[in-house]
Amino acid sequence: MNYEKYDTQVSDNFLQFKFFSEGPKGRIAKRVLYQSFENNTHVYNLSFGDINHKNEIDDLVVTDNGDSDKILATVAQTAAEVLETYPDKWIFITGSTPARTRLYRMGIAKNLDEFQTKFEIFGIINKSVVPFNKEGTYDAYLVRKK
Amino acid sequence: MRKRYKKPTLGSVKRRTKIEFAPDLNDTSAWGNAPGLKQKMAKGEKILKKITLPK
Repeated sequence: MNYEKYDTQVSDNFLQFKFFSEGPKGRIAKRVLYQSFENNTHVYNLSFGDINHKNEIDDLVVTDNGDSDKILATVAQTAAEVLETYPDKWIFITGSTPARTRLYRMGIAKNLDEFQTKFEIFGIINKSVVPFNKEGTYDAYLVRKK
Repeated sequence: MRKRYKKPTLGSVKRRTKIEFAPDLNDTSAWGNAPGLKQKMAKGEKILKKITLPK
């Protein structure tokens, strides 16, 4: 990936990451969490957001700290680390809002060439799973290691 | 054959940025309680139920 990334901290199982966004709004703690689905244990859901006062992820907050490319690159790096650690798993990605799902599409599209050297990326639309296309509109994304 | 889980180490994952273990991140008590997270997991389950993962 060509964008600069933040240094991250990680849990022992490599499923929870923390880093700090730095910008005009200050230093803001971010968390990326990978949770296995109850009925699809080989698929991890990616959750991402600010850490609130209860030490929970708030994935609806809009931080607007002027570093969205760097944040997306950092989150993508965590996904790469999860798939390196758990090569037989899938990562499921969808936004907490349609706008965020589109934002993730833009983030994937910007870095597609590099992603595709290591990972297979699919878009989910209705009941179909199709190879990711930069121009496509999707409900969610699936990523696995090649 | 299913790959056997091997506990990762910091040296086992290639990276270009600094990464360090943080024991506080092992506390999973807040997992799933965050605003919107339960709904998002439910949404994911619903989507995954409709599809077949590629071979």
